[in-house]
Parts: sequence; C-alpha cells; structure tokens
Amino acid sequence: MIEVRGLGITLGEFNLKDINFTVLEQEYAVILGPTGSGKTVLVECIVGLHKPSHGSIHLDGIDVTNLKPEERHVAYVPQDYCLFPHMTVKQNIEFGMRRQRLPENEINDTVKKLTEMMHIQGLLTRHPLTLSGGEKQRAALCRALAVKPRLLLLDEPLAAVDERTRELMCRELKTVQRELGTTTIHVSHSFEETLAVADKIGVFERGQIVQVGTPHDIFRRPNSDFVAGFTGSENVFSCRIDQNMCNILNVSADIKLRVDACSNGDARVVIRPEDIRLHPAGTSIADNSFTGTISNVINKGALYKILIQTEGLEWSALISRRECLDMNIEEGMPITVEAPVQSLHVIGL
Amino acid sequence: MIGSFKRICNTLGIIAILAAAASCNAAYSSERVKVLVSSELKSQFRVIDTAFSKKYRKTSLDPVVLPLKQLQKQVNAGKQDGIILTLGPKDITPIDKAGKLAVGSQVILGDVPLVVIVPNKSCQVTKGGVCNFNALTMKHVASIAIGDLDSASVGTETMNALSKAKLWAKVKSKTQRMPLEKLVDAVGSCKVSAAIVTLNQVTSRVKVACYVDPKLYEPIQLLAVRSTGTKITPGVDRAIRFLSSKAARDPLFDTGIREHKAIKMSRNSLFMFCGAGLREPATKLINTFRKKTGIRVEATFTGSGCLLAQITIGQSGDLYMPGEEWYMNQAKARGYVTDSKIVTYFIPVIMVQKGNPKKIHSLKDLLKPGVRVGIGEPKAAAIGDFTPKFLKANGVSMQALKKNVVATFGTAPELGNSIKLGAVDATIQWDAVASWYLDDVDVIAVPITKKTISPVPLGILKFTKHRDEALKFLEFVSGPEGKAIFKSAGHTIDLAHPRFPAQK
Amino acid sequence: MLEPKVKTSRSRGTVRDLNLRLILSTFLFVYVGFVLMVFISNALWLGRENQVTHTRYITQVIQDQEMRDGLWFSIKLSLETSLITSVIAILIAIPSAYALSRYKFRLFSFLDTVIDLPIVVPPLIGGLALLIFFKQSTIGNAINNVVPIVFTKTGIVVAQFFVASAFSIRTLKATFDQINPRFEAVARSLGCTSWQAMWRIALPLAKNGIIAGLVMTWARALGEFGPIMMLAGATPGKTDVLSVAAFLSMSSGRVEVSIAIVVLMVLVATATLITFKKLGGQGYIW
Repeated sequence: MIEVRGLGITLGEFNLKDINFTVLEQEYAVILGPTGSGKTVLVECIVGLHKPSHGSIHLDGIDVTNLKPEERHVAYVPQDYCLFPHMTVKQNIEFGMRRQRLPENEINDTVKKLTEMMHIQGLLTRHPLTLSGGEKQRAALCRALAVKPRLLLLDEPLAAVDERTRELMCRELKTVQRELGTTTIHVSHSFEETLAVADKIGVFERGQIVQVGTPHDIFRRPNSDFVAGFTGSENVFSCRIDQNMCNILNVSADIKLRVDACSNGDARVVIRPEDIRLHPAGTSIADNSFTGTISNVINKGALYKILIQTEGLEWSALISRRECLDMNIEEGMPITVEAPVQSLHVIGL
Repeated sequence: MIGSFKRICNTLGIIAILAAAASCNAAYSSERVKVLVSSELKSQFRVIDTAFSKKYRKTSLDPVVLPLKQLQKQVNAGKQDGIILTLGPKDITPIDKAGKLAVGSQVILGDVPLVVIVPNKSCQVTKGGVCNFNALTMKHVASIAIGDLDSASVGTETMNALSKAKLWAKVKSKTQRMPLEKLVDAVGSCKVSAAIVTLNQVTSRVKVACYVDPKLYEPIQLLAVRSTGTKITPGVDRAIRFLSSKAARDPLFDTGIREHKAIKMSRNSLFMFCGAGLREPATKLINTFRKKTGIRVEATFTGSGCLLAQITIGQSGDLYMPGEEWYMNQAKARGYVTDSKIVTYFIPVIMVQKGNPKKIHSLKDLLKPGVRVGIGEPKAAAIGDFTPKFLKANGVSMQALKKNVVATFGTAPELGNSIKLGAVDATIQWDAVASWYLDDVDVIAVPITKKTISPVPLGILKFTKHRDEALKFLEFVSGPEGKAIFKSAGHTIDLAHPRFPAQK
Repeated sequence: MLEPKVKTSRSRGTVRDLNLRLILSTFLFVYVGFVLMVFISNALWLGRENQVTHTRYITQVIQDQEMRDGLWFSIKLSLETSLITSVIAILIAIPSAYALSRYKFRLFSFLDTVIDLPIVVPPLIGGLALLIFFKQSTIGNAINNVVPIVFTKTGIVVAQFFVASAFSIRTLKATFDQINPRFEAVARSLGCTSWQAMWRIALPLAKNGIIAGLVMTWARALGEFGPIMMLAGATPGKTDVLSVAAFLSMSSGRVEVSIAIVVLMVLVATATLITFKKLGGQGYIW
C-alpha cells in the first residue's frame, strides 16, 4: 500500500501542492486529470526521480521519501512503454529479475507465467521495434510485474491505442491486476476508460487533488465545476437552493427543480446529459420539467446528443437513436425536458 | 551506387599499393658485395654476415680477410676495393692519407675496450692476480706483452694508457712487444704473465683480469668505411645502410664490441631548428655527421620566423639554422645564440619556364609587358625581404616590377612550386632552391655583387645541454665536408664559383 | 460546399515532383563531382612525365627507396597517433557528454562555449597556444617535465586531441540528448543503480553515436597539420605524420611526393571510413 502525505514540489512550470492520498493493498487507483496538470511529475516523485520539497511517501509502512529509485521496489511503465530497444522482449522482461540475481529457473518460470497470462509467449525473441502498440504494452507490463513490485505505476497506458483495443486492454489490465493482486496506480486523462478499471479515482487539477472517491462518486457526485466538466457532466448551472427547491438563476422564466439538498443557499446544480429525459412538447410531466427548443442534433454513432435552448441556458441531453427516431427529433422543434430529482446533484453547499 | 563506386576505388587503391610494393621487391637482383676484413676481426664479420643474410636474401657479403698491414697496402695500391672492416680511427689513417677513403662513408659499429688478460690456468708466471691496471707494476707480474707499432690503434693506445697512468717507466723493463695475433697465444701458453689486448681478441685460453680505464686512452672503434674505388651498387648501398643500423650493432656485443659512447649519449640527441628551404642539405649533413661521429641530430623544418617563435617560447634546443641572417640577428639580439658561423650562401637568380618561352635574359626583361612574375612576400619569406635590395643593386626599381607581379608567396619553396606548376612565368628565387627544379625550369643568373648575396648562418643556442657535441656539429658543417655537402645540394659555397655563373 | 478545382491528373503531379527532385539532386551531384574531380586530377597528374628525366612522377616517387621508407613511416605514425587520439577523445567524451546531456549545470552555456573554443581558434594559433602552455606556464611546464610533450611523438597526440576532441563531445551530446531518459528511469525502477542504468541502457543505445564520434574525431585528427607542427615539430622520421610529410616535401620542392601523399591519404581515408561504416551498422548521426 502507498500513502502520500503532504507532498509538494515545484518543477519548472509544474507546481504540486499538498498532495494527500492513500491507495490500499491490491487496490486499483486512477489519477485522473487533464494534460499539463502535473500527473507525470507526481508519478516521477513516487518512482523516486525527483525529491519533493515537502511531504513524504510511505510504501507498505516504510518511509521511502529519501530512498533511491532502485531501492523502492516501484515498477514504472511510462507513456510509450519504453521497452529497451537493444534487447529482445525476453531480455526486457527478465531485466529486473537479473538485477536481483534470482536463480535461472525462477526467472524462466516467471517469464513463462507472465507471458502466458498476457498471451505474448510467442514474442519472446522479437525486438520491441517490431511489435504493435498492444504487444508493447503487454510486454512492458510483464517487465514491470516480473519483479513483484510493491506498487505498479502506469502512466497513460492507453493513450496511444485505438478505441477497440482500448476496451480490450482495460479489461485485461483489470484481470491481471486482480489475479496478481498488485497495488496499482493508473494515470489517465480520459475518464471513460478509467470507469471500468478503477477501484478509486483521484481527480487532479493544476497540481492538487480536488476529489477522491469511487468512480460512482466522481461520476455522479462531482464536487466542483471542474470535476463535473471533466467527467462529462455538461449541465452545470448556478442556482439558489431554498427548502429543497432549486431556482436556476439568470433565466427569465422560472425553472424550479426539486432537489435533495442538505441546506439552503447559493450553489451549482448538475445533471448528466444521459439522465435528462426528453418528451414530446406538450406532454405534461409532474415534476422537474420545462420546455425548450432543440438547437442542435449531433450524431455520435450509437447515441445522439441533443442541445436544447431554454431562455438563455443550454442543456445537453444524450438519447439513443431509437428514441430520436421515435420522437422525430429535429432542429428547431419544441421539446419538454425532464430532470429527475435523483439525477440532480448540488455542488457547493 | 556511391557505395559500390567507393568500394571500386578502394579496391583499385589497394591493388595499386600492392603492385607498387611487389615491383619494389622485383627490383632486387642478387649481388655479392666485397668486404675487406682485417684479420683480427674474423668473428665480428661472421656475426655481421649472419645478421645481414637473415635480412637480405639476394645480397651476400663476400669477405676478403687480410692482416691489417697487407690490407692497407693493397687498398692504397688500388688492388682491392670494397667495404673495409677494421679497427680505428688510427688503423685507417694510412688509407685516408693516400686518399683512398670515400669521404663521409665511415660508419662506427662500436667501441672496443682495452683489457688486461692473464692465463686461464695456473702457471708458473702467475703467482697472484691482476685486479687493476696498477697491479701490473707488482712483482708477481713477471712479464707483460703489448702490441707492436704495426698494430696501430691497439699498440698506440696501450702506450698512451700506460703513460697516462704513469706506469710505463715502471714496467718498461719487463714489457716486450709482439704482433697483435701473437699476444693472446703468449698469455694462453703461459709465456708471459699478462698482456694488454682489445676485448674482441679474448679466447677461452685467457681470462680478463681487468678493464683499462677508458679515460686513459682515445677510444678504439670498430669501423666500416668504403674505399674510393668502390662502385655504389644497390648491394653496396644496402650493406652500408645495414651496418649503420642497430641490427648490425646488437649481435656484436657477444664478440666483445661495446656500444659506441656517442651513441649512448645520443639517446638525448641534438635538436636543430632548421629553415624549411634548407631541408635537403640539412638532412645530408645530419646523416653524414651521424655516420662519422655517431652523434644524432634531430631537426624540425618550418619557416625561419616560426622557428624563432618556437625557440622563444620553448626556451630549449641546441642549434638554429635559419634561411637568412636577419633571423639569426634577431635571435642574437634576444641573447639566445652563443656561437654562429656562416655556412653557405643564398644568391638570387631568375627562374623561368623550361625553354624560356618569354625570352627573359636579364632583370630588365622582367619588366616586359605580359610577363607574369612571382615574388616572395617581403615580411614572410627571406627571399621576399631580399628581392627589393637585389633589384636595387642591379638598377631595377621594385615599383616598376610591381606592375608585372601577379602573386606573392610565403616561402621560397612555394615560389619554386609556382613556376613548376605553371602559375607564373618568372620568379626571383634563391639559387639553391632553384636547383631543385632544374628538371622543370631554366635559370638565368645575374652577376654577383656584395649586396646581392645572402649568407646562411648556423648558430648554437644558449639553452643547449650538449655544448661539446653542438660545437662538433658546427665545426663539421662550416668545414670542408659540410661545404661539399652544401655544394652537392646546389648551393654556392665559394663566391668565386657560383652555382649558376652569369652569362657574359 | 463546393470543392476547389484541383488538377487531378496524376501524371502531371508526378512530373512536378520529378523537376524538384532533379534540381535538388543536381546540387548534390555537383558538389560530389567537384570533390571527386579535384582528387582524380591529382591522381592523374602523377601519371604525367617529368620533362627532363622522362620518368613519370609516380615512378619517381615509388622508386626512391628513402622516400618510400619515409612515407611508410609517416603512414604508420599518422594512423597510430590519430587512432590513439580518437580513442582517448571518445573515452573522455562519453562521460563528459553524458553529464552535459543529463545533468543541469548552472554554468551550462559557459561549459558549452568552452568546449567549442579549440575548433574555432585557427589551428596554427591553437598550436602556438599549446606551446606556450607547456613551456611558459608553471603547470604546463611541470607536466612537460614529467611526460615530455613538446617536440615529441606524444606532442602529436596532444595537439590532435586538443582540436579534435570537441567533435567527440558534440556528437555524443547529441546522441545522449536523443536517447529518452525515461529508459534509464525505467531501468532504475527495476533495480539498476544510476551507474548500471548508464552502462546497460544509455551506452548500448549510444553505440552508433559513439562510432560516429570516433569517425569524426579520427578524420579531423588525421588531417590536422598546424598544431602538430607548432607543438611536436616537423622532424622527419620522428614527428612527420602524413600532413607534415606533405608540407616538408612541398618545402623541398618535391611536389610530386606531396601529390602522392594527397592520393594516399584519400585512399587510406576511404578504406578506413568504409570500415567504420561497416562497424557502425545502421548509419550515423552526423
């Protein structure tokens, strides 16, 4: 397990402040954040390449802040995998074990086991330059896991990979991690891919962790505009909460929505696009509904994104193609929008 | 495509080099070289012959062994010619006096020490040992034998040693003279108690009691010289070069020949700063000097000015021979030079293309329109500095010539190369340098006056650590042998007989 | 939306490309041709005859035993010293360039400039500077007393090293810059000390750069003349590498020997460059 306490470091234009988080044994944690937020710097600090100016890092209870990288037992898989180009795949995977001077048969056994698990046993004599992206990633994983590390660090492992392979790889990563039980930190800028794998997500913004929680928490209960925007909750509006009723501000006509709020005051209200229900105009819905005009219909393949204008606010809804056809959705037509109570989330109270 | 082209060039180049190497070997033909060996040096010759035949398979040494006196007579009479192997230097003086020695052909193979020998078994005559030279005066040394006057070096040096050690008076009465060959026998058969011989004569019948202190006598050397009547064939050339090399000297050690003292010293050889234009004569001088005295001189060749800079910064070295007196004066002004002498002269001449297409017969002809003239750069080359003075002394103005000057050159050789390569029609150049190019140019000489000669000096630097040897070199270069070498390199050494006499 | 009119004829597009290719290739071939012509004309000149003795210049050179011995000595000396210089230069350049590439120095630009200084200074002046250092300064003089450098064979190596080592450092720095430091980071995370990471990862990956650096340094060291003359002297039979031998022949008016040396050096250089290239494998960073 790994505990980061109060870590701070300034490196060039990256400024990390007061990073605190914990990843438990065998947990799969994801650090999520936009490009340039300093995620890689954090990873490099954990690997041991930079010395933090404040704070400490503890691995399995041991304070490793002052230890060199080779003493920490943290396996690092960078972006583009960095397989050693002048060695074969087998030599790459064996590399860490040879440094530990393990006996020959133990090395061979581990290599066999790992490569079979990742289905790359046929690539052992190949050179990294000749491998595909997916093969490289698996080889890099084998290399990292071969040394039975305390912690596995994956820096954007799925960034260079196409959509379909990404899904497959996500599943594979999770399977392997569960089988071997390695504590893992996976760094990413895409929340979609991480939903499937993460046990815990920490959202990173400009050098600080702004929210930690399960994927469900992050997804459905973002604690800031930034987190909401980053995770795809596009409908974020300012409002005033009064007795569980939310008055959305800056709107000429009244849009009052019922919410579950713990107190009163000025806040922001969020609802995910796919939670918005659309009904043909004129349908009367009891709760939390209002009328609007469809301003844009965007084809996203299996889903359609509908942009609705209601007196100066733009709502975004995500519906299936079937629904779209059934309701004859067209630009310019009026539509009834429903925002169910259970899907509304309040930020800032 | 470029790759394979390069490969072809590469292969052709290798083939060319191999062919050249093969043709060199093919140029050898077998030959017998006559060597006249003084009879006491038979074993020395055998050792040299073995080493020589290992190196050269097609050339062989043909010995003629004669007692020294006969050898001298026959060479002087012209009856025998070849390479002479003998002790010296006194043994070859008679041949030298008769003028039968080729100048500068002498090679020193080593020094032969004088030793005192006693019988190798106990006999009546030896009742005690002879542990040092002075012991010869002791009573138990009953009789001593020394070489007679016919044995030249050995005989004379033995006398010198005994006199210098103040022993002669005391041992005169018990000393007898006999021919060299008989000395060892006399001791071996116990006829005398001791004898003084050279180390190479020692056999197993006698043993060496002690060495005679070298300070007491002039060194006796093992020499190889060439008689004047010997034709210099490739075989003879090879033999002489071999004798000058370490390969000939090393095996002689076991026959009693020791390393020549000067060679030992020459591990620190003399270092000379020499002007680039004097390279040919300098190299010959150095080689001849080494063969004659065994003293090695190393020379570095650059522009005289550059040399002065190196001397100034380096503050080391033994000799300086710049192309012009001006540089020597500079060095003297800085206090670097202790002795110097004029060793040769540079006289300006006109160099023109072969066949003299532009019909230039005098300095005034250089002013003709259409004549492309090259001169030395005034500040860089000695000849460049000298040219205006030369012109003025002959009534031609530098200004007038300038119209025809198409290029100036930084050194004398560059000037010469420019004519050879056709870049200019005429140049004003030193006679000695011009003589290198006689295959490709014609030379027009101008009558000499005092103002038109440039003396070349050789000086000893104050930093030298081998002043004696440096002086020897200075004497050699400024002496008749040095002058002869300069002459053969195309220099004018005698102002009455310039290299290129002016046409009337 | 309307598509802009585009000449869709495929053949016309290819022709335009061919023109550009022709023009650019011409520059290349003109340069290569010029270099080749210069060297070949020298080789051909040797085949010409001397007007008086009616022997070809080349035969004159080959048949002169002393000159052959001298040239052979010069070739051996040139190869020996330039190879020694290159090896020493590379051995010093590898750690220096690694440090320069991987570590941050406050005086980085200063260090960078100083490294290039020996190349910028005219070679003859560089030689003069070396001479002054070894003879006129306390430290230099002390060194020269322990290890004789001025006017010796060692001086050749020192002079060559002074002007050519910058090439090694530059080439190797570029090489190490190109090698992603993440490789070494991964190696360290797998248990390598920083020494092992450099030895097992950075150096093998730098192999091509090392060979390129060796070649460049060797080429520069072989062709060097001025500093050698100033520091080691131009002593035939002792310090006359090929370049100095050419100068000495020129100074004696024996132009044909100098030309022969030109041709010889080109052949020797070609042979060595081809060998190096074979060893270098994939080709080098220049």
